[in-house]
Amino acid sequence: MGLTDKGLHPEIFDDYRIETVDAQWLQERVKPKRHIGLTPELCILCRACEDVCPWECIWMMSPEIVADAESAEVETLAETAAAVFVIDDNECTRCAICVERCPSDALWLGRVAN
Amino acid sequence: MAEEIDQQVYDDLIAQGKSERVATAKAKAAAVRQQKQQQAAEEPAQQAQPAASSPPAGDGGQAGGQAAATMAEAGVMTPEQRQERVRQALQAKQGETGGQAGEKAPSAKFAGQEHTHRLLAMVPPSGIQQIRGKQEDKVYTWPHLISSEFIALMAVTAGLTVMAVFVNAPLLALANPTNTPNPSKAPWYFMGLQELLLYFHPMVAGVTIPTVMLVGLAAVPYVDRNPSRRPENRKTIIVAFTVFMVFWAVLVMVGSFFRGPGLNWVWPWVDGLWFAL
Repeated sequence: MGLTDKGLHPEIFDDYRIETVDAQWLQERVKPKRHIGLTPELCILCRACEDVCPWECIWMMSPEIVADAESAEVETLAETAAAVFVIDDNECTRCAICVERCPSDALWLGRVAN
Repeated sequence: MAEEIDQQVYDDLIAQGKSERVATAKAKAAAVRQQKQQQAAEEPAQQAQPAASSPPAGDGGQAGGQAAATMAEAGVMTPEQRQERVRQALQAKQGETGGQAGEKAPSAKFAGQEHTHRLLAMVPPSGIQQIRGKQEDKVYTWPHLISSEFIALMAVTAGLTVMAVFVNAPLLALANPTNTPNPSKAPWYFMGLQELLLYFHPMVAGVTIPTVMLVGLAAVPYVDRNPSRRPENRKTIIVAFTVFMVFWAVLVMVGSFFRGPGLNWVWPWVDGLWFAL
């Protein structure tokens, strides 16, 4: 089971570096094949997903947590963003409670291949 | 996972007037948390078994379990304990993956787990702003219009002042009914009409043509309903107005400068200027 089962809380960092990974990498590194996705245009920043997640693995963060990125475009995008969503795929159990809770249908559960 | 819901929570939320969707999600989350609490109560005994020396392998859950084992039944760790756990995990991680090329991200920031978090999305500000109505190309009267109007006012005043100093426009002697000046000219702005009178019957030159012109001007907004503000789309009306202006300007200039005694044609550079303000 995950960290929260032990009364622990996943840690959040403030010096993330954004790197592009391919689907292959993602599949090898994290557990199930299904992943939570978020459509930023639909997000209303209500943080209901954070609130409802039993694993405390999805966070809405200030863009300031992005310390570095692999390209200037991505960094600019991060700097101008209203919020950055980070998920810990190893804590996430794909229970999809956040998908169900999301009031604007911004969250979805999809497969890596997609 | 999480198919069962906490009926109590669900009923409470429904009673509070929450939507079914919110209630279901929260009730599911509550059920999951409850389940987890139960498991947590059973687990400490199992967790005490794995030796702290065994290398962390497999997924993060096990590695976390190993680290947590050293905390015994502590449950929630203090920050110091957590730091210690992170430190241990980092060491373990380095031993495990040390020197591997192509490692993505500075990993193992956290308790023996793979600590690459996935960026779910970056929400651009446009995503949460609802734009009502189209942005218009609009500026405020103050200061944009007022300032340029003020500058124009000052320029005209200065020009008039200079003109008043240098251009003589005297009041003449009392009019003598027995002595009509020759030529007798109208004010400059009527010289166009006066010029027309030389060519047409007074009824045509004095009434018909001006009436047609004025009615035509008044009719322009009804006839030309082109909404475009771009000059290249308004050729017809621009040509029409230019013709109108040039027509009157030529008549006024001819009447003012090229008519001498008896309103006969004169060349101003030959016969002198028969024009007074």
